[in-house]
Amino acid sequence: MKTKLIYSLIFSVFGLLIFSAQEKEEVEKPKWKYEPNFIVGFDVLNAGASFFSDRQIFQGFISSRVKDNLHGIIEAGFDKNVYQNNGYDAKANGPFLKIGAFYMLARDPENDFNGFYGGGKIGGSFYTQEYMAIPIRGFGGNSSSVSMPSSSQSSFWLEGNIGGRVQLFESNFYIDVSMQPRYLMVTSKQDDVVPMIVPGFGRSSNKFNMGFAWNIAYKF
Amino acid sequence: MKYFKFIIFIFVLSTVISCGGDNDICDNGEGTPRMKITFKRDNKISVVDSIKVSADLGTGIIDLGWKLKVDSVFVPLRVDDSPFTDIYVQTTTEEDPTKVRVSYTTKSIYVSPGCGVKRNYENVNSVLSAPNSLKSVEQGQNFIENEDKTNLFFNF
Repeated sequence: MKTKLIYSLIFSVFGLLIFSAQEKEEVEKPKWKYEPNFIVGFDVLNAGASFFSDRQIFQGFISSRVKDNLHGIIEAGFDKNVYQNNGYDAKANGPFLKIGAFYMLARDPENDFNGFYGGGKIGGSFYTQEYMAIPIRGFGGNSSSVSMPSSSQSSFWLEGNIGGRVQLFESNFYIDVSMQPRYLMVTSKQDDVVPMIVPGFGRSSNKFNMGFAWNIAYKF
Repeated sequence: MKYFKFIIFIFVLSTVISCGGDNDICDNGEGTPRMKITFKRDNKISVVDSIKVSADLGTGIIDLGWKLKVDSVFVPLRVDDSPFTDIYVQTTTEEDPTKVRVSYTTKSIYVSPGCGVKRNYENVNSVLSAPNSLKSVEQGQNFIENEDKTNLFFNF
């Protein structure tokens, strides 16, 4: 987690430097006209981190400018995760989908797709979980565990979306860095046991969670 | 620089949010309840001058230490799948400890992410192997869901 944070920070600052170098004087913004546009991105930070951690997460997004500074976004991915901590031994894997919108808070006058944005998404995940061990805590560290068989569950959450998008030189490629504070709204429970991990959401013993993504995106 | 406020905002927000750790602390009182043993002399609840109780929790015998001038003790029971817990009782250092075997059926109840699962005990039944200064045992409440009621009486 810490490595991820540091990576995000470095890349964010790096991106900002490139971006601020491109900053020019404000120009009168022309009237917006509709034109179909799509940006397709793939999260390289988490995909790369998958090689070094127990969590394997592959996700991407498609976003499109709807009107002025308003963009719609659909994210999808697959997450395979384990939780081995504090007496628990659990695994969960499954696909997830997020739909939302974001607003360009500050954008480059020369390129409408460059800028900082904030928005929100609704996420859902349908996954398979298996709890090999749930701790039974006894006296003086004396403990035991119970297990639950594999089962299908689903969870839904709200997700904030704060980040920035920067064009890579003059190409159609963009770097999109974002932070996603998440709040788990509802989740199905197996035998009333609160899930410790939810694919696409992360650790879920706490309803709040934080996600980071560092995407390479291509604009069509 | 007009983007500066966004950078600060993002950093502050990430600092605040990323500090939240796992909710994996188990408050006392939500775990597996212990068994309450109360002492009786001449069929009346009374204090004993000194008593030492140990329990075999499967991983080893846990010594709960000498207690002085008490009328009851709390004894942890095993949380694994064993159908009984052996406890050992002595009232003086000269005396050999005697064994009380507490048998029961267990029930697992989910508490919280931090506490995991706790055990409740049902059909609690206790047998004294050989009397010493502890003359007999007497069943109290035969299930253990909390630590309020006496589950076992020791007759001295």
